[in-house]
Amino acid sequence: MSKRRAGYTLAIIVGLLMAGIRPSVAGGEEKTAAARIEAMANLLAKAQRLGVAVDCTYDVVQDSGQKIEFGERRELTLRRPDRVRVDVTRRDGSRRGLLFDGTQLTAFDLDEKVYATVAKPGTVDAALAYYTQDLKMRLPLRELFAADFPQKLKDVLGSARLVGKETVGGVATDHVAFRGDTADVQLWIARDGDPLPQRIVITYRLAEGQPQFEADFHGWTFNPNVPDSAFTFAPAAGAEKIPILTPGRGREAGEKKP
Amino acid sequence: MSRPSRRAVILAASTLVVVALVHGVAARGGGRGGGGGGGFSRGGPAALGSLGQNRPAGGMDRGYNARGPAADGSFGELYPSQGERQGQGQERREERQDRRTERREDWQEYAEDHYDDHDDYYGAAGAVAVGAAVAAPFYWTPPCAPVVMAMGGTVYYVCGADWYIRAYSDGDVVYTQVPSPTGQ
Repeated sequence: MSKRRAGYTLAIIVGLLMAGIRPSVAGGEEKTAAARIEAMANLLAKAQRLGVAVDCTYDVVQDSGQKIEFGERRELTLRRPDRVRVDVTRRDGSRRGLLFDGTQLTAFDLDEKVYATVAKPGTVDAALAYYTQDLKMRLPLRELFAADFPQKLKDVLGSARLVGKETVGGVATDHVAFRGDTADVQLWIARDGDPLPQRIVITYRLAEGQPQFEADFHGWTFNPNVPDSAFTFAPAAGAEKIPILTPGRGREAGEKKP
Repeated sequence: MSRPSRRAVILAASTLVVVALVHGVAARGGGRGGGGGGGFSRGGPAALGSLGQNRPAGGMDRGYNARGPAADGSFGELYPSQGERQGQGQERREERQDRRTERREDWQEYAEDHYDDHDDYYGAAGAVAVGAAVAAPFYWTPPCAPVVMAMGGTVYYVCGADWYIRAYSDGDVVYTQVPSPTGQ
């Protein structure tokens, strides 16, 4: 090989190497984003006790196309494997919630003065999956607190990207984003200490008007100070016990009755 | 330094300059509306935070609906995005429509099965939630000023010949019609 040829080859190699730097940095950011999300999911899935207040807002696209926002504060107390309590205060002041004591799953509405109770002995995860999937009851962000969240996320972590380092609510976070098949998810995960989510935005991009669900998390604790009695439902005097309508599934349950 | 190797250094350096320029553009998000981290654009209609054209867009004469996809706050399908070609969006919308139709049919069938057997519309002692009897429309409030009657541990709201109970449906408390417990 002539010296000149060697020189050109060197130049091309150096050029290619330099050109390669940027993609490799981007690749590093992808790994960072996926790693941050994974760390957060593992932390939440493994925590035996959790307490957090979640300020939620969500869009509802009206038939007219107009987008209207609603909101509520959800206070969640989780004690694995078999206790959970969620207290919800809507912006209109109405209060409702959900309790599970390892045996009984109860939905209550303090303003309507009603409650529904279902026997579902087992884990929190099984009870909450039953609550949302079979009973069609509403429990936003259930997946975030499920023990199988890290596994469920595996397929979408490849799409995870770091948007940037941002401060939300006074907390330094990594702003990360990933795409599922029906929704786009953004998370702001604390950079220092435990990788806890500080904020989440979910965009339902296939839904008419692309409504969003947004939540800010406050007061994370791994040691909520709640007595056992907090998970067991005691109906208020005069509260009316009502059924939960379960179309489709109702027939199976009906058939099981002797 | 020999001539060829000097030339190589110059070539390498100029390649660097070009690469740096290209990356500089990429890092700025490719121009207008860019500047976001990680290649995300920061621009767009919502970024302006403008109140927009203040022309009326057709009013709401009734209350606002508070239910919809975002109200559920679910992560959706957690497998990778298949891309958003028009056809796929359309397909998914049709799938959703099919599922809704199926669900309505489930309701209808269930209602027909249980119409004459109102003992079944609760589970044993109400411990298990079971679908209600009639594929009746739901009401947020009773369709009349009802007579309230408690019978067999259930509170009924009676509008003439129509009997209603309260029940959870998709997480909300509704009034739904049931067969008369008196069998009339």
